[in-house]
Amino acid sequence: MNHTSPFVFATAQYDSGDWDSAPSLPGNLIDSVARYTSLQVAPQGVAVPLASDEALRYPLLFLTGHLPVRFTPQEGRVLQRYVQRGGLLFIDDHNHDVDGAFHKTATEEVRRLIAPLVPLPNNHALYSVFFTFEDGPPTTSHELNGWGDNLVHEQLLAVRAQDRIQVLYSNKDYSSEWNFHPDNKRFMGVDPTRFGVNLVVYALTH
Amino acid sequence: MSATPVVAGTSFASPADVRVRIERLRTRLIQLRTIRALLLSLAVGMATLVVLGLIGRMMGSRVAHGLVSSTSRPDLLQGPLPVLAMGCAVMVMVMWWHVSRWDQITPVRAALWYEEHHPCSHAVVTLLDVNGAQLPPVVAHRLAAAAAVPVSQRIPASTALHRAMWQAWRTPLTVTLVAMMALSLMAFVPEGVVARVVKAGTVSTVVSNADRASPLGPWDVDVVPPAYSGLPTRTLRDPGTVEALVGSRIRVSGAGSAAGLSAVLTVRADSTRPAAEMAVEVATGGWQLSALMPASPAVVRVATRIDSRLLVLVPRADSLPQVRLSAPLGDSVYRDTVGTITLSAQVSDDLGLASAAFELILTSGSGERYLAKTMRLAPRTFGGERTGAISHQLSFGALGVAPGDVIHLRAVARDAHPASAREAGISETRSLRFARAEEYDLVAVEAAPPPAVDSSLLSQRMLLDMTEKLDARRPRITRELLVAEARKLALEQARIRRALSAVVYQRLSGEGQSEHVHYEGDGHDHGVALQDGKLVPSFGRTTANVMPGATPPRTNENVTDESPIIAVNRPLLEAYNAMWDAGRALELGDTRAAIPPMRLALEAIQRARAAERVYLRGRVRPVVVDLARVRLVGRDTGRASSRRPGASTRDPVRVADARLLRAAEQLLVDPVAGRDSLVMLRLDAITFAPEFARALEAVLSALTAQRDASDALVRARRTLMKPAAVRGVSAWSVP
Repeated sequence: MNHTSPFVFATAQYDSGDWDSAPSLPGNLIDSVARYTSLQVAPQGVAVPLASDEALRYPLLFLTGHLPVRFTPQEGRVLQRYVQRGGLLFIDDHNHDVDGAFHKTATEEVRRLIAPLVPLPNNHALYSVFFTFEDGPPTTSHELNGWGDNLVHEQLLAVRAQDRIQVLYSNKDYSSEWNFHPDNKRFMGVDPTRFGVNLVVYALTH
Repeated sequence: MSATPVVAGTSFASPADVRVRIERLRTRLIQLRTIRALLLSLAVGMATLVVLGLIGRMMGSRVAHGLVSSTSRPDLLQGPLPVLAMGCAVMVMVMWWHVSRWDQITPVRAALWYEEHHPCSHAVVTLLDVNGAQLPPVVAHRLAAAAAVPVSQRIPASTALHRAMWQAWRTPLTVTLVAMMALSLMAFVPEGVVARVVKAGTVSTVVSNADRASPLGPWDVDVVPPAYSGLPTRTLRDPGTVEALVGSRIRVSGAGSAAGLSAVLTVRADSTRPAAEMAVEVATGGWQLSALMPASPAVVRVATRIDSRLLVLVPRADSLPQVRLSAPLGDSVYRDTVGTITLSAQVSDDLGLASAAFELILTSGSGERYLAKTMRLAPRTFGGERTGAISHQLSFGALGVAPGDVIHLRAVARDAHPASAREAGISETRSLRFARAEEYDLVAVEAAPPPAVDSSLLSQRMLLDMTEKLDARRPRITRELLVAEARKLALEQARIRRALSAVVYQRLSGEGQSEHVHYEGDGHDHGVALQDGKLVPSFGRTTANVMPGATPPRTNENVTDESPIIAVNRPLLEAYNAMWDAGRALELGDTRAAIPPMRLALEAIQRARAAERVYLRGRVRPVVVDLARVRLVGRDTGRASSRRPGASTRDPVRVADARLLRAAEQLLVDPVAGRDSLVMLRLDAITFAPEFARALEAVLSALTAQRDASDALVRARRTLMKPAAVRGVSAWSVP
């Protein structure tokens, strides 16, 4: 992919869980990227198998689900190559539950394959690369409503290499927050997908 | 040397007396010359020893490492005897050279030497040159008298002789003394200092006698593996590299004084970890130090004030247990929530197994509510065996699984490593899913008759066939029959078109009504409107966008001026309008004109059918974003933000190659430093190029064994820079 190619939002398709649990999310994020930025962006996202080298073509991979995450050996190899070659893997816990199967297994898999996740400082460039989020990651309605683990997670987790984020992990359930019907965006006071724009811009510029 | 005056006070009273005294002077001159020759040969010999010693010290490493070609025979320089022999040989050669050049010292020459220091008008020379016996006594006595110099003008002959002796012996004596001092110094200074002195130009440290036994001589290394491994302790004699299990205790001990000895441990792979000072302890008969084998390759540099030596630590990781889940062999979907399956797994470990079990996660729920339950099944404890197996009969009923539940199953094994954060060996994960009742309904739906669009497809295809057959009969039938048959087909075409319009209206406006009640300007918007019998979108779009053959502007990303709903249903609109054209042609009995739009309609329906294919798993329903609408512009002129190119990753192979070349050049200039560079390069290569590291080990072995390391260096470089195979014939090959 050269620098003039449009950005394509890619959802990671893994074997063990419900990777397609947020089908409306890609469209809403693409809408936001097109709405707020001048980035060239493809109007439709793609679902890319994590076991395929096709995944290496996309600078940002979105991975979500409710069920346990157990990467196959081939998925693990591709994932390791992906982050080593500069890709950003964004994992979101659709359960919003630190006691849930997704959180336990996904963090274990990231630690096993790449490195342990550590809290990302709330003054990291990710929070100011396009929109400014002075308090770090924006909260979600699922957090504020006390669903899932009934916690408001102050920080995201990340694996970094030389200050570049390789893996970003969220307990905040952006998968639910951003998975609304496209027609409902106009009724929202604050667009919740603005942080997704930061994710895209960060992935394209770092 | 005798202090007795040889000719002092001589008045040469008689010719005989002159001859006797000159003869005595001649003897002394011969002694002086002989002693000078001896001193000179001794000085040259000693200087030769010093030079050989310096060369030996400077070239010692190169000689030892075999980097000097065998033709130069540098090994001759080793040991004191060959050097002494060469020094003696030089002395003899110098002595012989002097003797061969000696001229006879005759009495006349002695007389001339005398007259050079006591001018007396050549009276002494004349007296000796002419046979005195033939001279008249008067002449002889007058010559003897002429040889007498006034006492006030005399210079004592002994003084002249002493001055001559000093002048003749001064230089060889000085050289001999300096050479002796240099040899004494070399005897006390340890190996390697000379090279540093020559390189640095000065010696900044005075070496004491206590350091004469170098602490950097041969050392012993005891390797004590961690207790959990059960491996025995082993002792290595003077190794340069120690390979051991991570966590092993490495004890290095050597002879010599521990005073001034320091040791530093550097972990090469961890640039953030500073070098750690190691405590050097005094031990019986020498010194010792101790370190734990780190997880990454490391080097211990043991140094005195003037020299150093490296010990490479190569860790051997305790591998995680290998686990293979042999049953179930793959993922499955079960229709029933009762039953029993067999679980079995094989486990193995390089040191010894501690435990193994099956790990199971049972996930229940749907939508936004999921519950997960983790459990361990069939745990088994091992007593250090290297291989083993576990098995279990898993009863779904006992687990209480329900439809929709998912079981993620894997086998886990641990070894005896005591670290709390120690990872476990894991197998692949199997997903066992229990189908919901609705999934069977989906199967039933698929078995139902084809939907309306597919019915249209079949009819349209049949209608096209019938039209083509009628067109083929056209030359053989009358015009009236042709028109009658064509109008029957036109009725069929109209029926299909109306069925299709119902589908289009249903999709675009949610109404099931068909075309006969909708037209442009009827007061409400249905998404499409009738214009001249054809359907056009009513979202402010032009007719040209949906007319067959009118290709709308389209990019690879489906960026068009129309809404996504219109875009998805466009094939059906095209089919409808093509059917309209075909039906009108058939009404006129023009079968030839009807066939192209009928084909267009068929092709459009097929496209619509393909677009509507539903995939239950593996593909999500595509969400198409109307970018132009989002950006409130007709055309997007934006460009992707300029991406900052990331810092290029230095190819470790290229870097290693450059370091190898530098080390090879350094071997010729500073062999010790060159060897150390190779040691460090091998240490770094262990992680990214193990084959290259092994090749470098061969180089170091060759250097240690004083063999020529050139071939090993070449092999190491070839191992590192593997030549790439080139396809086809090379450019200089004969075609």
